[in-house]
Amino acid sequence: MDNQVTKRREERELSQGELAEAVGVTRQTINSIERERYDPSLELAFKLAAYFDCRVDDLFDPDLDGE
Amino acid sequence: MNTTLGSVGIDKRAYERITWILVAFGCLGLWLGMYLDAQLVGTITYLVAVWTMMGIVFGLPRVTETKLSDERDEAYHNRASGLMFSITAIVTISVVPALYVLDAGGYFTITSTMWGGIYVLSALALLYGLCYGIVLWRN
Repeated sequence: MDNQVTKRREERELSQGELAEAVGVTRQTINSIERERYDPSLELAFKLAAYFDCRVDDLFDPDLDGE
Repeated sequence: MNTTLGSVGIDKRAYERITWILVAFGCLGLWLGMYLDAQLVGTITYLVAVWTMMGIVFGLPRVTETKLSDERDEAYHNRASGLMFSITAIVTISVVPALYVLDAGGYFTITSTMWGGIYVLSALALLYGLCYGIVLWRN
């Protein structure tokens, strides 16, 4: 799933580990999300959106038109 | 001073490496025990290594502040379990009934080792059904 996690994280000058700690997951999970190899659960998606103070669909694009 | 393991640098990668090294050490000990005709020593080595590994796997997350596993690990575990079950089910359903028929017709003999495998697969299928029922009931 396309996402803006890397962009938002870098805007805040955060490391993957710092973001992971902030939302309660491992650094590897943040890395997998950023590389679009893992789609987060709804709960984690909402936590990330809340952390970046945006909406879930600002952060993640499910690309439903492309299906 | 209230020091946690998290504060002395145990991270997820080290945690996973330690558990795999212990499993490998236990298996190597067991194999060497059989190879060197020292089965008791091999078995004790295996059990100590595996119990230590179990203690770390279940105990360490309770005493460290470091996040050692999360939803991604659980998702991958669920995917791997589903894949394993699918492969096992496909192989079992496609092979075992044919073996029964061939054995009954005298074209093929199911050996005692093969019966062991069939019983194990049957037990796993029953266990899966039981676990699935528990999951349904709890949700």
